[in-house]
Amino acid sequence: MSEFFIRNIWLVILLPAIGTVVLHFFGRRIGQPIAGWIASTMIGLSFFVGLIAAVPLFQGTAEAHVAHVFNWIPALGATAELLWDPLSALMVLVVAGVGTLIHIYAIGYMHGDERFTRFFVYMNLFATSMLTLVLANNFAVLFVGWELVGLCSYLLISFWYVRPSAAAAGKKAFIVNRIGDFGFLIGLMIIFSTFGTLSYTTVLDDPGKLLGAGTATAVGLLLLVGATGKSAQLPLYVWLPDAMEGPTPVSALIHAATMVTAGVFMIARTSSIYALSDTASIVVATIGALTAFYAATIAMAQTDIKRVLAYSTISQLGYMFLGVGSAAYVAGVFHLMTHAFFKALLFLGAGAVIHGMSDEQDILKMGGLWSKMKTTGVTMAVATLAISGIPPFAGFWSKDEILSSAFARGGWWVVLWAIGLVTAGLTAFYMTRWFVLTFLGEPRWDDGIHPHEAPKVMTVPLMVLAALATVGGLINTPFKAGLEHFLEPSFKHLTSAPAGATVWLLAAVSVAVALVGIGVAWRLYSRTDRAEETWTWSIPALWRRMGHAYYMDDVYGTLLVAPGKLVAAWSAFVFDKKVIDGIVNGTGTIVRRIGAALRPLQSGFVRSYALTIAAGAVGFVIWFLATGGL
Amino acid sequence: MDFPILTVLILLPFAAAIIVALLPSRRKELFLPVGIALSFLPVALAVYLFFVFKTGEAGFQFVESVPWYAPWGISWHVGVDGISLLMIVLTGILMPISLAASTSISKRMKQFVVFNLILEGGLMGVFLSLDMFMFFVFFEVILIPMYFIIGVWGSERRIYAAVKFFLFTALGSALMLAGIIAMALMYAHQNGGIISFDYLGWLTLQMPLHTEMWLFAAFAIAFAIKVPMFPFHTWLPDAHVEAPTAGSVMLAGVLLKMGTYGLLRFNLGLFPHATLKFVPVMAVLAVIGIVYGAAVAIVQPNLKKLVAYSSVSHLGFIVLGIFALTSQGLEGGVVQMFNHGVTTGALFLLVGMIYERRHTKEISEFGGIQKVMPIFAGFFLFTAFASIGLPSLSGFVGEFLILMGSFLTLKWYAIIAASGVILAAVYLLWAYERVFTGPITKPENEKLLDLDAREKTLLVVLAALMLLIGLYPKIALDKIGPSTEAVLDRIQATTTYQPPAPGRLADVLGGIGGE
Amino acid sequence: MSDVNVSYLAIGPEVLLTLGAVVVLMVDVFRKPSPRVHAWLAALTLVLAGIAVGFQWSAATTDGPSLSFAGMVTTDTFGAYAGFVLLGVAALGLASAWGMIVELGRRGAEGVVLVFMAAAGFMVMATAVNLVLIFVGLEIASMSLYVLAGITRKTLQADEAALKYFLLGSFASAVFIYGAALTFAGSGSLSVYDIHQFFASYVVLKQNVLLVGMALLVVGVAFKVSAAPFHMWAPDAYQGSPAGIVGFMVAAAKVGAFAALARILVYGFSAFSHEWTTGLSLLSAISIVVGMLLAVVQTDIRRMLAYSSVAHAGFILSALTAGGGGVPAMWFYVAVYAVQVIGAFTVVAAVAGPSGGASPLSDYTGLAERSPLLAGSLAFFMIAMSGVPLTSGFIAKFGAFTFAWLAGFQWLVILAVVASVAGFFFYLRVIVLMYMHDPVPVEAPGAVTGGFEAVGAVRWVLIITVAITLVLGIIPGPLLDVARQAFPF
Repeated sequence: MSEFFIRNIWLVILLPAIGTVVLHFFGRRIGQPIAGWIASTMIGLSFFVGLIAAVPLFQGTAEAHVAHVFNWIPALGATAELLWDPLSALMVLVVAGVGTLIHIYAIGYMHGDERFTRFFVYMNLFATSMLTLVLANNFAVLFVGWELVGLCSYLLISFWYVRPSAAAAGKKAFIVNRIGDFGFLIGLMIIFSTFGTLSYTTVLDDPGKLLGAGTATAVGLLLLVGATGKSAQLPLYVWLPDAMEGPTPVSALIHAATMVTAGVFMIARTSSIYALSDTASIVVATIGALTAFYAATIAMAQTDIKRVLAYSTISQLGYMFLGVGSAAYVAGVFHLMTHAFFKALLFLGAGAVIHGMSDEQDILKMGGLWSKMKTTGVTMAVATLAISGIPPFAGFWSKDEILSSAFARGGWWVVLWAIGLVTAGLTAFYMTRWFVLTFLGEPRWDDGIHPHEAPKVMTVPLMVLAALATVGGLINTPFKAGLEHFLEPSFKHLTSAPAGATVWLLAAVSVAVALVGIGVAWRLYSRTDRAEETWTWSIPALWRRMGHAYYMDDVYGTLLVAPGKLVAAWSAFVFDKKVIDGIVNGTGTIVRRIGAALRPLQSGFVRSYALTIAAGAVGFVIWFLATGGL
Repeated sequence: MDFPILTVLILLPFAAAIIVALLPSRRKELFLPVGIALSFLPVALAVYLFFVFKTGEAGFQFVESVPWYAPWGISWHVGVDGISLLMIVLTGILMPISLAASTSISKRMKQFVVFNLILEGGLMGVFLSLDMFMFFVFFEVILIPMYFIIGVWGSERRIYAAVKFFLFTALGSALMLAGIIAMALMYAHQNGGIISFDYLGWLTLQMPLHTEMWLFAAFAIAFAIKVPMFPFHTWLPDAHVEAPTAGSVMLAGVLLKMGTYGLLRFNLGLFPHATLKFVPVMAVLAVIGIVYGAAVAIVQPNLKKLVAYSSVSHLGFIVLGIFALTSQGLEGGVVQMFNHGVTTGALFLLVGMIYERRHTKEISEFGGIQKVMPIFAGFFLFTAFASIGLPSLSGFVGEFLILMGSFLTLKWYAIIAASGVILAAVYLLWAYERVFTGPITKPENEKLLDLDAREKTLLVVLAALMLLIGLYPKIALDKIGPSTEAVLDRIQATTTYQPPAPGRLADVLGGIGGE
Repeated sequence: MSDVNVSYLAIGPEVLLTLGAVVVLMVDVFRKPSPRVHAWLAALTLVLAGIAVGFQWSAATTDGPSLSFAGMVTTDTFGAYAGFVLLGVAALGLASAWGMIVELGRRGAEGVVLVFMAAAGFMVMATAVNLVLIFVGLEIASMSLYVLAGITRKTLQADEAALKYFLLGSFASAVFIYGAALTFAGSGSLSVYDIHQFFASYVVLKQNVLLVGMALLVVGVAFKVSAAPFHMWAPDAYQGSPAGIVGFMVAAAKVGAFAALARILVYGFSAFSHEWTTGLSLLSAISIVVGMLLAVVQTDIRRMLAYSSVAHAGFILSALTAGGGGVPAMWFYVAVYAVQVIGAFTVVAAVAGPSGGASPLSDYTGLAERSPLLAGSLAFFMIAMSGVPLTSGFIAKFGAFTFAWLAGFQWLVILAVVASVAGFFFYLRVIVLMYMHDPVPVEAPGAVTGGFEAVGAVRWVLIITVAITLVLGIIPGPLLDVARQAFPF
């Protein structure tokens, strides 16, 4: 059974692909909600295929297996080949699993939308692409998935294209990602020119053979550029907050649980290259830590229920980068998984709230929803605790492992650990703020809004995810590092997480910090509903900046976009029109001018003609005598 | 191989043109249908050729040669190899499509169809000729029908555009004519006075480097204008904006490829030493074209101009790939010629369709029309992404091969060229945003009808091709590979050039970090 | 050589043409016949003359060139070829001018006669090997052309044109005959053959005299082919003369004059080939540049065609820069150009009215709508003259350039190809007017209405000329072979 699936692992990709095609052509006739159920079934099936295929890996009885599907671009060694090893297996399960839940949720959420089926076409297409990405055994295939998820992100962010902001956000996402891909592409160029192929099997087995340290650094950094684009890290994170224009299930699936983690996954996948260059790893870790802190500060001051989560996602992705940058790949991937659970949960919860509050998104206009939306409230509480890093919830274990591994690496990494620690406090703070403002305190919503709990189809996924967010962390604890062992074969050079007392000490510290964060937020916000004004007066300027994400969009706008457009316009309307075309048309004019200048010679008088003839004759004679030598 | 398939392929369109011309003038309704019907014969033949073409053979196949005028060494010499094969198929496919897209032509339908068919015949001739005289004849003949198509059936500034197109390209080919004559006489000089225009014969010529470089220039300018490469590109936007849809489709789809085809076949083939000398020049111009064309496209207020400039950018990629002198680059270049023909052809079809509905190509005139024309929007987006180079669609295969291939020899050029990948996304997606998304701003746009069956059929064909090449490019690459490889082998054999082999490159990487 | 051996074959065509002319006149005097009769007589004459030329050709090809009349006249393929072309030109010219001849009514016969005499004169030029006889032929032809130019006696313009043509023409003839005299002084003979022999057998003492003589001979002929700077009469003459006959005037003059030029230089002065090839290259370059540049700025299609014929004279000369080798290319070019130019002027005549005056380009606006045949064929001739492939024009240019390059005049070839691009500009402008502008509504002032039906003869002339131009563009072989045979020396 699982043998068969391992050999034909491409089924995992094919199933949602079938869903895409079927729904694309017959979706209208099928109509909602069936279309949604078909889509969910398809990705659900590929989850089960993955599950069965993973069994031998769980038992540790199977080696990594490469399945050749077909030869794509021979000249580049770009074969359509898929790799089935623990890492890809884990990713498949996370993507397909969480994906399935979100698909189901979306059936409820998108109910009544006129482009319901279209939505699920895109969702299934995304599943296809994402699974291609994680299963790839070839940089070309990886890139295919990489770009296609970008496409789906574009399509789904601007799903409600009639809203100009949505359309703009989608475009922005794609273009910013392209900037990352620019680096990624150059990385691939170097890889190809070095190895003559793009197949993992050749490249990642022992890159040190051909890859000098310098080049390895170059490749590492260039791939990182791609990763920062996809995973919304500094300085390319700007697209993710805007991506919240998309329907909430999209935010949950693509912009929280799966696509945005592609960068982390890719770095983990190419760990053997990063192993060759500490420089690259340090840069990865540093960017991660800084992003984590930076985004956390912004998240503190957001009032849009989804934007808080968006910045929190950026921040959490920063943790993952810190993890993989510290060569704690397992920790990074572990956090990727747990984050997928609780962040998806948070978004879906937010979705439920928005749904129940008839599209209100400002948390300052919420409050007191606890009584109205029990299920949502409870699950959100779980998620909040999970992300804040309170044991035994999932987030604690993974985040803590990242921090301790960073600490263990020593040197510069200790600084990064410190940043991470502070960020943990901020995280706890803003999540608590978010939770309190949304669910507790007095109702602040506008009259005419009648909050109500979401339908079963939406709440069930919430509960499942809540369960995962609670216990999901237990698969890899200092007591029993299950995931560690599971992923072992996928990674060569791992930093072993510190053992014994240090672990507990570090754990204690981070828990303490988290509790402080929660406590402060609780104290500030649970008392009065005017909390926001009452305490932020002390730091108004800073708070405003944080609220506006330090005006980073405007900075980019003035520093990059505006000048770019200016140059383009100049070359189009001045250089091209005036200079080049000027020369072109000028030549024509000159010819005509000369002709016109010669014209007067044709006076029409016989005498002048005769004179010319005579002159010509004389000239001719002279010429002949000259050439004929007198 | 008794059946002279290639000769038939060239003559069929001309015959078709004559048939249409002989139709009674009063049966106006007949011209277009008959023309379309007849234009299916070449495409059928071309596709048949594609499948009977022996994969894995580098040389020319189905070669026919009969003297045209022996004393001058002119002969009717045709043959097809992996490089020309795709161009033939492309020409065949695009002709019926662009004719079928011309139902809105109001005046002188007969002449319109006739000129289009003559154009097709000329194109077939260009790609199949192995005799330089014959090549030049077709290369030049093509100007006439295109000149009329733009000038008679174009829009407001059609005459300026038509004349500009004609003079620009004629200037280029004039110099090439001098070059061809020089080559033929050189051949006579080296072969006991027997003058010959046979391409294969010319491959044996020996000449001093400076002569070779002069001849290279004479040919290169002609082709660079056709491509068009920066800074010879300004005729293109004008021609495209004014030309009727069919004209734009054929122009961007096939005519431009005559330039890149010529560079690959003749400049690389005949002047290997000069090629090596000229690589920097061509690479620089190509890269400038890529970035400049894209940058200019971003700010175009006119949809057709935008697509036109995007062609400048894409063709830059092709030239870069060719002059990278690596098997990947060449393969990518050739397959990209085909892809660009399909995608840009489709884009011009789409622009034409919206133009027929609104009689404007100004982006500002639209906005939010995805609401009323979802299918149209879908096709546009699909094509746009194919042209942006989204993996799994055709555009990517070519660009990826070109970038990877050119990095092997032209590192920094390739890196700069890669930035074109970003810009492509910028100009197309921004245009899409302004035309299709947001609320409908103009009342005129509220009543727009979505695509009808005919229009859908045309686009489906092209979309299918984009998907096919994107997912399984091998079908084309296997046929191209050997022939491009042969070009490379020849350069290697006649010069000191060594195609790069993959390997450690910390040293060559210089700046990025040599250890 | 010098014994008088009378050979009627040698002068057969000329005699027949003259007889034909006499008959036409007689018939016209004694019984006032309808133009139809003239047409039949003319046709008959031309056919007979053609047969005679045929005999000349076969005789020349079987037993080589032969001299007669005391070495004055030769019967060779060279002359026969010229004869063929001239008769064809005469036939086409008459046909396209038939409208004018009919219009002339009573004096119509004179038109026919003059055309015959002109043709006969140019034939003499082509077959004569004696400078004086060449001169005689030149004069016979020129006189007829002068009269033809002014035959309508309607417009002042026509008379002016005729007069100018006459005055300048005689001036040029004077130059020619002076050249002949100097040549005689230098070589002691007027026979091209003897001059050739002279160079072969003696050490040339009075070289400069001969050089000057040769130069003047060239100038005299260059005038007839309207090569710059001896071209200035052409635009005025072409514009003034009745449109119907201009085509013939241009074509015939080119044939006869180039025949004489080639015979004198290539054979007679082969010893000076270095001097005269460089000389001709210069003449060619000037003609091409001047012709093209001035054609660009013309607003009257006849003047434009006049300047284009100056440029074409230049192209033909470029073939001769290759010396003898270039003669076939020259022959081909002359023949196909003659056909094209007659065709083009046929259209001009149809548009302007057979004996009409000026032909401003504006008359051609939207012609395609009003008369597809006229517009189509004129467009085709424009394309052919600009040298686009699949027309005889391209083959002709190609041949000329090839030989010029072979002769080492690369600079001339490059100049020529670039100039022909400039040429596209004004040739295309005619097409632009006819096809790309909508016709001027008839009510509008200045709109040209009448004369747009390509009737009878005109229709046939157009069909034939277009057919020839196209076929020779695709299958040039036959004519090229003939042209190669038409170079016996």
